[in-house]
Amino acid sequence: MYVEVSNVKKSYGEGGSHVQVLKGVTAGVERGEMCVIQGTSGSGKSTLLNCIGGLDDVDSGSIKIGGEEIVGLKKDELYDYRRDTIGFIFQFYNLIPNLTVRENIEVCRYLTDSPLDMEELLNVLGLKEHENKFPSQLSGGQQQRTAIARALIKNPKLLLCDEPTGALDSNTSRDILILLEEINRKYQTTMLIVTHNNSIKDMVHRVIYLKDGEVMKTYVNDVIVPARELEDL
Amino acid sequence: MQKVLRKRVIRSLKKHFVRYTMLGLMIAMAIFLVVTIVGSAETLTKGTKDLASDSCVEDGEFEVFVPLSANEEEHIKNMDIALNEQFYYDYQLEDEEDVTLRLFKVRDDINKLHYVSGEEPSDINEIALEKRYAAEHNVKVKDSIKIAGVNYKVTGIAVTSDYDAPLKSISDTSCNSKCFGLAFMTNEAYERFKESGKAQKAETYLYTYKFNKDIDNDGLKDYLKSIKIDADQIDDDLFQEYWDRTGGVEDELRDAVSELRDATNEVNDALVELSENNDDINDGTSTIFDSYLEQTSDALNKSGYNVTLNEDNYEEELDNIINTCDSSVMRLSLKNAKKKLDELKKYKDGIKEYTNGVKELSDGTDEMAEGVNDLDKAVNDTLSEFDFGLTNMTSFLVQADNPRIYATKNDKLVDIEVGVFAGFVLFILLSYVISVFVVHSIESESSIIGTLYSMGVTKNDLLLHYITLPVVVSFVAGLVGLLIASTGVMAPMIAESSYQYFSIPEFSFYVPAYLIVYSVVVPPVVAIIVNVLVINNKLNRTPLSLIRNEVKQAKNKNINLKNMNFISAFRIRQMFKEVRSTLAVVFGMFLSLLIFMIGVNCFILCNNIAKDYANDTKFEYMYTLKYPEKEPPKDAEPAYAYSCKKKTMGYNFDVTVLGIDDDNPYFDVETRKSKVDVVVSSAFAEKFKIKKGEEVVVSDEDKEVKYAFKVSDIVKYSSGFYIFMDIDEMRDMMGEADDYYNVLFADKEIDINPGRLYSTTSRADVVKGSEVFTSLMMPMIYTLSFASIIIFILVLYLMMKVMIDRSSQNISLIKVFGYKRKEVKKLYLDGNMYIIAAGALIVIPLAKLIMNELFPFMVSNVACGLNIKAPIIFFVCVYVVILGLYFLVNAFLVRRLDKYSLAEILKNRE
Repeated sequence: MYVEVSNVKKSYGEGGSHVQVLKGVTAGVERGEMCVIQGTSGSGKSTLLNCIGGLDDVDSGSIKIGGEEIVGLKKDELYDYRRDTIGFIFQFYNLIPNLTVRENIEVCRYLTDSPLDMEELLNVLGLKEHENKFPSQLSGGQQQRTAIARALIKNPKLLLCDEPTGALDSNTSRDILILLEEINRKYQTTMLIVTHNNSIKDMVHRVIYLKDGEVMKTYVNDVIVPARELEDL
Repeated sequence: MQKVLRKRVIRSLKKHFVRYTMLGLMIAMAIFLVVTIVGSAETLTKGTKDLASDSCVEDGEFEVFVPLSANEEEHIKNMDIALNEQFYYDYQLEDEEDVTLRLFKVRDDINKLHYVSGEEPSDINEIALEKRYAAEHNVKVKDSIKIAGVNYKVTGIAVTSDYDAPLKSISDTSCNSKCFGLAFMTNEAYERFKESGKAQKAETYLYTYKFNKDIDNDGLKDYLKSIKIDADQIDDDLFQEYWDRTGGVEDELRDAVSELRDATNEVNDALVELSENNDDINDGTSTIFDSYLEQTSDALNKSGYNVTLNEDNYEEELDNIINTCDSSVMRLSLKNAKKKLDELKKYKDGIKEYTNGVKELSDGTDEMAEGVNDLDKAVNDTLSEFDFGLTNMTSFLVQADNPRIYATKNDKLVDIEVGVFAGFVLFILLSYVISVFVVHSIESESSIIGTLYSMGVTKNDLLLHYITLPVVVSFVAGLVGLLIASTGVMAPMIAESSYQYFSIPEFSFYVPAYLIVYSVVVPPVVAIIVNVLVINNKLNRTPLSLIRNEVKQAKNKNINLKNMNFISAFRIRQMFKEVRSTLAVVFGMFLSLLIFMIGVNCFILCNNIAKDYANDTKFEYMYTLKYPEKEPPKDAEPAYAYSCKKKTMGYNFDVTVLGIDDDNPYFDVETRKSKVDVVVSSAFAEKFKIKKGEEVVVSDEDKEVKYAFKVSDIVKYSSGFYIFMDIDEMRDMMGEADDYYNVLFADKEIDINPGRLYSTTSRADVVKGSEVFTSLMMPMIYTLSFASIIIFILVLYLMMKVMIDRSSQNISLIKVFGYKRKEVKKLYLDGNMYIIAAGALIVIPLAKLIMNELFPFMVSNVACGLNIKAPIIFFVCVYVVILGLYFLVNAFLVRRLDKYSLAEILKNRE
């Protein structure tokens, strides 16, 4: 398994406000797989994603990425881990408003010595004509494309997507999912997609279903539906 | 609505407690400094004014050659003027020759003494000393002091308003209480000293006066000018010697013309008498000549020649007879007769010419006598038209022109103006800083504001809400600053230099009403104005625009940075994004520097004065003479100084017109042979903003005459306001004798009878005087420099902090991507260095330039040039210090970057 999560526990708060968000989660994802983490609100899916991304620490358990344990890494080592391994895509894009499309992408390009080709990426993502625009001048879909380009430019081994279509309409969501699909195919990027959208699970290789901080079920799709054929997005 | 919003104000205060506490502390500190500096100045001003009022400070003073008569005193008193004899002796102590004590009687009505310790002397062997002298000589009450062989017990240490600045001479540039002081003794003790004959100099007859009702200095002065005395009344040999050479020439002129008239008349009388004998002389010689002709004719007739000789034919007739006569004896006899007749005729013609000459001379001297008589009359008439009588008054000094009176008050004017100005500058800056925070809040609360708008809340409601906190903080901080300052905790430090220079008692710290109003009104009012101006625009958007939190894309942000490297492009974008904070930093730097430059200019001015005075003063001694000798001493260079006045910015300054020889070694000045073209000192040109080629007018207030000159050159000379001209031209212009002088310059001490001197100024005095400026200014210089540095650090810190706070989500984001602290710093903090570096390059010279323009107004009462040129190294140092402070602040803020959690970005941004 490329991503191995073993008995991960995570809680917030103390005393009366103490909440156990992850109650011993164990799961795994193979290299190059697209995986959806699904669950209701408060099930712990985003927390799990943050822990895998090294943004949040765990109370106990183990998270291995490509065989390397990330739990217990020092701050600087976590920075290196995120820098070298992880790409993030957020629901609300999190573009830097005062930077152009190209400059937003360059934020991550700066972090690697072997980035993907910027021009190719702009073309692939349909951003070439918008490269000098600011986020406020873009549609939601264009902004999310920019966020994807930003995440991909450093050619991450693991792409973590937190509700990547949560703020988009149906058609735009489909476009973004097609894009992710193509990227997965083209760059063999392992993807973990947190979503509450029930349709997306059909386009990925693996599904992990969380409920109240525990893995209720996990399965591998026998049949993968191409994103363009997904319904009810 | 406001009630609900008010609750939010308190919550905002709690949320940003540290930020507002810091800003509040800055405002409190600013008020504290303003109230302390200005309050100290006002304390000294009010204190000296009150003291002057309590001690009945004089309205003016005058000196006379001989004491006024009872009638004259009575006349003055009838002009509704209180008059007081304030005669004194300058006495050089036996054991300390360079120390002069000015001995006065104790005063009863005008310029009364204020005892800071002890009491008034009541016994003949008791004395009171002036405070600064006593302090410098470590004399205390009950100590004793020896004067003219008598030991006096010191019963009191006192100050007097007419010696607020204990200057020995009013022309002195600074006080030197080590060398000069005042002593006050009983009338009996004063008379005993007078009669002891141990005074080294003549008594000075100084009168002080005070108007009971309306001030009429001119009226009193005119009366005093009208009092004439006989020079013989003055019991001063030096004066008499001088008077004989100068003032006595009127009599000499009258006598000389009179003698000329008498002599001319005598000559005329003699010639008239002589001419009266002319006919007798002529008749006599004609009779002799005619008799000889007759005798010769008779002799010829007897010899047979029938001729009658006369004056016209005798030559011809005698020549005919001689030529025709056969007798040689007769021929010889006739030749002798003819020769005799020729001689007699020549004699007769000579006598005729002589008598004609005598007649003409007699007629001429008659005319001359008439002319001389006319001259005599004209000279007498002319002299009687001019007032050549000796005026008893030797000097007249009104209170406003007396540098000893209200010296502390005048000195503190600068502090008051600088303090109030610096305060305003500070409040504007701090209010702007606060407004940046408020704008930050408004931007982050954009959707809430939009929602409130959509629910009917008005812009004014929100404006009021957002300015409430800044205004309250400003008000409370101002009040706190005022209360702390009112305790006077730092006032003694500020006022210390004044107490150590001026002869004044220590006053209780006092805060005038306007400072109280200033402290509690100015900060909130400035906060209201600045915040309304800044916030208003931010609240001027539509509810929908606010709810969507639409970011206005400013045109200047849309620049193409495609070809620039990522880091530079990022920093430029960041700079544009934080343009308000960036401006605040540069503005803060500018205002801090403006305040700093006040201190700097004071320091540079003092420093340049000290340096320039030392460099420009080439003489070792300058003697101002009361009674100059006919011939100047060999080792001294004579000059002619004449004191005039010139006004600028409401102050009337002494300007010395100095006549010098071209080869005067103490002044590197090439004077013109002209009464119009003059050379002026750089100090004069700087103070009065005079340029080469311009006309300059100075007034002789005593004579009520104005002199206009054309400035042909400006020479570097900082030690006083001087107009240099050729001494001969000046003597001619002022109607003085060809050898007149009243000042001597020398490179060593020369032996001059002290009775001839008005004052002696040594180079050491001049240099020391210049250093006094520095010591008086240093507390303010330190305070302003310290305050400006603190302000700059705080503004820089707060603004850089607000910049990164506003970017907290983005910082969090790039940290999520794997950016490390060093890289985040590079993107979000280090870019500011370029702003600071570039901003400082513009702002440092700009602040200096602006302050150079404002500074003359701040020191408008100071009688010195305005050489505030700073060397390049100064600008370099300021630049380096600014960068150093930036790095210091940067180092503090780097740690703050770690505080932005990664989770920040994971929160919804909607």
